Amino acid sequence: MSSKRGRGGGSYCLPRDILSTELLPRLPATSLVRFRCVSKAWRDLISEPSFIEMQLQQQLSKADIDGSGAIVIPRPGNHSSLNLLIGSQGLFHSTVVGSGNSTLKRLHFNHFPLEVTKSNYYPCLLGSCNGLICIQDYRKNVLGIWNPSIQSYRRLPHIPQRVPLSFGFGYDAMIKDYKLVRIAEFSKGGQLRLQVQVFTLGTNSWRRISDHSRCSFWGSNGLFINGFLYWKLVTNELISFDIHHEVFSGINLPEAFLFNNDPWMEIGELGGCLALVHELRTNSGVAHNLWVMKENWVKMYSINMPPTLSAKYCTPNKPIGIIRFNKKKENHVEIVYLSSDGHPFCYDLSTSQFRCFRVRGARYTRSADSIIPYVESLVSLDH
Amino acid sequence: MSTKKITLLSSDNELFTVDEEAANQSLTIKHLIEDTEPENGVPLPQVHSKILAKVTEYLIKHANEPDNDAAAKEELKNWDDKFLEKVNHETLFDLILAANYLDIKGLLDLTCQTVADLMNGMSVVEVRKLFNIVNDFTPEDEAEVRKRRKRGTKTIGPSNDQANQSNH
Repeated sequence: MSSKRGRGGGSYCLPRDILSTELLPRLPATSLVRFRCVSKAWRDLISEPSFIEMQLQQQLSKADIDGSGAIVIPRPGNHSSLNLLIGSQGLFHSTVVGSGNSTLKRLHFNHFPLEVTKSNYYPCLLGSCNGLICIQDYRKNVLGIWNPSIQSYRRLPHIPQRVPLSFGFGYDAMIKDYKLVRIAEFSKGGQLRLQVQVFTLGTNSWRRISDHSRCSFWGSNGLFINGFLYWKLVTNELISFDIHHEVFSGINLPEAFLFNNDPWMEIGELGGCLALVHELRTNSGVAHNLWVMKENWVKMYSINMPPTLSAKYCTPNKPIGIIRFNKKKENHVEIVYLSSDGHPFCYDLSTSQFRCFRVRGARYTRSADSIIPYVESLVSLDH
Repeated sequence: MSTKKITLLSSDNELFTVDEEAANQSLTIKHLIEDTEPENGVPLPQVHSKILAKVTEYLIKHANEPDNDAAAKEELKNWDDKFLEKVNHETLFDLILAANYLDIKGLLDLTCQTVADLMNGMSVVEVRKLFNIVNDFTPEDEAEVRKRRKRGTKTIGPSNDQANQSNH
């Protein structure tokens, strides 16, 4: 290993195994997509399933330490466009995606595979897992799975119309496959029931798993964390779904909730665990609590909202998610809220400070926002 | 605590002495001295003195890594940043090879992450130059690889969305 190994003007070689297991998996997917053009050997390496898996694991563990690689908040845009707020390391920037154009270079969210038209029904982002984003055109009843990093898209087989209430997208590690859960409502003998269908990417087919008599209001889409999907129902109940065994279970809320008449809450992911933020109103003011599900619920933060700020920022603001990131080697945990006029803002639990972010050209609606944790990956949709 | 010294011998016959605890971070050295302890130092014929000097500097600093002391961890992280700050590409690559051969996980992580960060901002041409890779694509191949990135979505435009699905 003499230092004279390099041949010709400051160029050096590394053995293939160091390159493929130690060095290249550290690069984000969008860089690796570019580097497929370096040579045939690099192109073949970057396309190998074992490499794709290794790169994904590396990026996921990095996200575990540094916080979610990026989050995406979909919002309706002005004209024929969908506005995405992309957050990474605590910084947000917006991109407008339409059919084939984007103002954002960084995450290459151009070439959005669905048509975006001037209408109220703009495409929805239903969930994300391992770099894949599940998208829906509600108006046309089209569902698809999209990997923006490698510009890969697959449209899912059509299923008969029945108003879907909610979706959940996740990865079944036992069978190494992706699943989309679709929850719809139907009426049987004059009673409303829930129909649950599961799409499996590997077989490219839908299955109906069970009907539920219990019909609750499913307000938002499922959040995928470590093999389970979690829903917060409008009735403030928590439901989990084991993505492998395909069974639902109820989750008990922290005891503090029992004494709370009118709690609002939102769920999120924090360090690979389910987290819950909720508001507690007492005579002395408004407190926001953050709980994390370890073996049991553990209260991580309790913030008393300063009166001046609570007038400006608090309810009827609603939390839409929780983000975590490292900045200048400090760990930040922030709750993302929507203000009453639909503007997103963050409250940093570590520094007790608010910050706003405004997006030019985006319309603000109270109903259409959600946070989708996202990591870039090379996971392919070809089978 | 044991303060036993271990002597390391570089490819150009220079001797480096470190505490056993520092040396044991290298699993290769650890295994070599477990069996027999060579009298004239542990021979490391694949590592030049210029590189071994950097490696021992790292090993000495990282012996007794702090477990729960946040300030000490912070200090060590800053030291790591400085450690590779003025290192040229050639030395960096030699350090990767040495860390891999000597099986020092921390140093391998640190050096590989540094190169990965470097590559992130590079063009394809710059990467080829850095790794001494000859472009073996024909111009047609290259156009094809570049096109492939776009093709996936080109056919999935709104107008022919339906038609495309039959391919899947």
